[in-house]
Amino acid sequence: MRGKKKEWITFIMGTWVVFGVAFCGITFVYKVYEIVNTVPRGEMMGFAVIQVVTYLLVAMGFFFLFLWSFLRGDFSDLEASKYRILEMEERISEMERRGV
Amino acid sequence: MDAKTDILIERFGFVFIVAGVGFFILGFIFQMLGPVLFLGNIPIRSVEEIAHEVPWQFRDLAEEYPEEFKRAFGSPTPETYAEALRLGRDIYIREGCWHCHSQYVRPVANEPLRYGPVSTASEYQNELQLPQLFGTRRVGPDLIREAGVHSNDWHIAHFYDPPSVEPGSIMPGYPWFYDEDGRPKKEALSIVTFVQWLGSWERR
Amino acid sequence: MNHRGELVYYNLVTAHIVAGVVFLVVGLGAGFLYSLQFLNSYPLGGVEFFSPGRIRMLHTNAIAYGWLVNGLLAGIYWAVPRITGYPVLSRTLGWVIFFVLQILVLLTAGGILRGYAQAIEWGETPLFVDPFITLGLILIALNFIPPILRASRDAPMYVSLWYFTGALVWVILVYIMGNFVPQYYVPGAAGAAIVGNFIHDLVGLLVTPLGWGLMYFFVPVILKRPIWSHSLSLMGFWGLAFFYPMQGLHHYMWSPVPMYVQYSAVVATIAIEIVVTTVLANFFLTLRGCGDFLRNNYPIRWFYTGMVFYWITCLQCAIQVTLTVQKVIHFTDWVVGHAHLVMFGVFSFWLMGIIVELWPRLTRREWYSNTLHGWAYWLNTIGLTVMFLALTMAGLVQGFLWWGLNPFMDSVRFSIPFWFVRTLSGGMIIAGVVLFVLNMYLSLQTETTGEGRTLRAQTTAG
Ligand code: HEC
Repeated sequence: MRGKKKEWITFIMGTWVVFGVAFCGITFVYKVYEIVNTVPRGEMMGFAVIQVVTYLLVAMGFFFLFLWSFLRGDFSDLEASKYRILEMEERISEMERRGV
Repeated sequence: MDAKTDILIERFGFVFIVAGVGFFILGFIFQMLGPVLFLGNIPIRSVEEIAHEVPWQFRDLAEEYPEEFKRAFGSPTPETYAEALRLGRDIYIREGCWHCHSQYVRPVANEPLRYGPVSTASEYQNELQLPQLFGTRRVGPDLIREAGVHSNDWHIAHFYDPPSVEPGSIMPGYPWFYDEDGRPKKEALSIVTFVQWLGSWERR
Repeated sequence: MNHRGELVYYNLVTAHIVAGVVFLVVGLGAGFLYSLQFLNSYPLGGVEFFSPGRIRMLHTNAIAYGWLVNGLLAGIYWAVPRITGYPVLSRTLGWVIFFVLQILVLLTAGGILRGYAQAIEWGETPLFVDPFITLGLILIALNFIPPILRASRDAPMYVSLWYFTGALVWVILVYIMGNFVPQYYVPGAAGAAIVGNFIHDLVGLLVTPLGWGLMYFFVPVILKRPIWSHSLSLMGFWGLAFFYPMQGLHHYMWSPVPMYVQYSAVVATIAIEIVVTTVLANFFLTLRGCGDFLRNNYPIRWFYTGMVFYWITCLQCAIQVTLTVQKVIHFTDWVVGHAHLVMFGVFSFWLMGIIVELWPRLTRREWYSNTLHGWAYWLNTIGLTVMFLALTMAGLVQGFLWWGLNPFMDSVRFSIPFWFVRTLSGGMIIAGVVLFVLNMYLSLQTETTGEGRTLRAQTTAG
């Protein structure tokens, strides 16, 4: 019974996330398309285009920075700190209780 | 804890420099530097330049309220006009008018029909828009095309007690712009001058 | 780890909470007073100092600088030492900051009422106060950065610290940019671009990261289970850091600011929706299997209610930012409803949850009454929901009336019923907050229990 319920929850959550991301993604792409469409033509074009291109370049730069640092092993133990703060809180509370 | 000393991204320094300073500057470049450079070569006019020609509304105030005008400004010259505009702008800011009135006409929602020509950036390149008074809320109507919509008298009565000329109005009255007899003080004359200036360049 | 003396400066936290709550009551009172103007029954009409326009600025500034900043500072004075294991730089500096902050808020209030407001939304702090605020912000950063820095030398940082670091840097930059550049250098449309970003960043780069940072600390600690996924939370952080500074211009849509910049703001705003969804999914997955806390534990209840409101706000953001919806709702009360939802419904709710959690431990007394807690919670939640709905509807009515070229006064007349409901719901919110404060005060009158720690289990509903 319990296992069934869990599966259902996972399924619903999963669908929700997938649909959410898909919906946001589509709107996002649509908006990008729109922004490309509004770029002023003529003399001012370069001005606007250079900004969009820089934006994309910078975003890509950050992506590769993350990739590099990930390959270096930076994020090897990402989840450790969330346990650490709970232990820390326990210890501090304990100390405070004794201190009072 | 086996401290890995060569970790880069999960450290304070990285977050500080990249997320804190870096991304902020990036946002600054795209959201602010863009418009600043884009509009940068439109010259910024000083109040004196705006006021070199005294409009009839200001002279009209001098004729209708001769004593009060004399006490407040003397005579309607470009210098006193500039002074009135500056003071009017300050009152507009300090009474929070800009929280109830906006100052731009959008090209949508029938606004050009209601208020007048759509606003352009060059209209705002002057000292009185430093800081800008675009506003984000319209409890009352937009004011950027206000010049000449109403007469001076209407405004003088309206600022004293808005519901008396516009029944049901929820705009607050400003009786401290007036003396005990209800005659306009310098403040009232200035705010009317300022409001009558807004958009006067479109009515020529 | 070494602890010499105190780790958390209890008195400092208490002082900030008390000051914050006082300004909260003042700010709400000012808001209520202002709302009476919309019903044409403003009691102080004709008095220069209490001109409605000035009272409005008092309302927003008391809430932003008096309540939110004080409350968030209290939160991070509690959280940062506990996450890092190191105390903040200096207790004396802490007290200096405390007093400087209160003096600056009072000066701002006095300055606004006296007529020295600055025409920058959310930054109406008079010009002569601005440099001192900048200085104060630098001092705050000085006080908090050392423990974070030391902890980050030991091990990779916890997500709260990422948020705090970001916020401490951003707020200084944002404040300088928003208060000085448009005031002295950049007029008109380009100035509007900067002010729009300031309006947005003050919420997005000060209040939001500090608020989320505190949530990432308090929720796991109270639930006694770690956050669902730490890596997902980091995605939330980097998304916020990357997209948030790029969307400020959505406050001036269809304005004379160059159109492509407005579009980029729309894109960034919609992009951040994805990020917000990941953050909320993370928190609700943390709660899975212990939903009972929502019923039994007041802090968690305030937190998660705030998160639901946050989700509504952000969904609304993504919808209202599009240029199509902007045509109708810009300049209307819709936006006012949105602002109340986020500033009160999210961040004030979180801070109240934090106070529910901390107050017994700070004062070493039990809460006086759980019934009062219940009343405070429901009055606030219902009051806020009603206010939000009323203002949203009023916004649509106003927007379409304007579009339909009806006489302007129609939009005022038709709004009055909504504004009446708004005032009533504002009264409910004030009643809720007053009960909350009363509960805080009455708790002080009870016997001290000597222990601060064990009380948390009792902060539960009956
Ligand atoms: C509480 C919000 C509020 C404040 C504050 C406010 N107004 Fe108004 N204002 C209104 C409303 C509502 C109207 C429409 C009804 C009317 O004409 O009285 C209006 C109308 C006006 C009009 C007439 C517009 C027209 O074309 O008919 C002018 C001019 C004006 N206000 C100027 C000001 C100035 C200057 C200030 C500051 C000293 C100010 N207002 C402060 C709400 C406000």
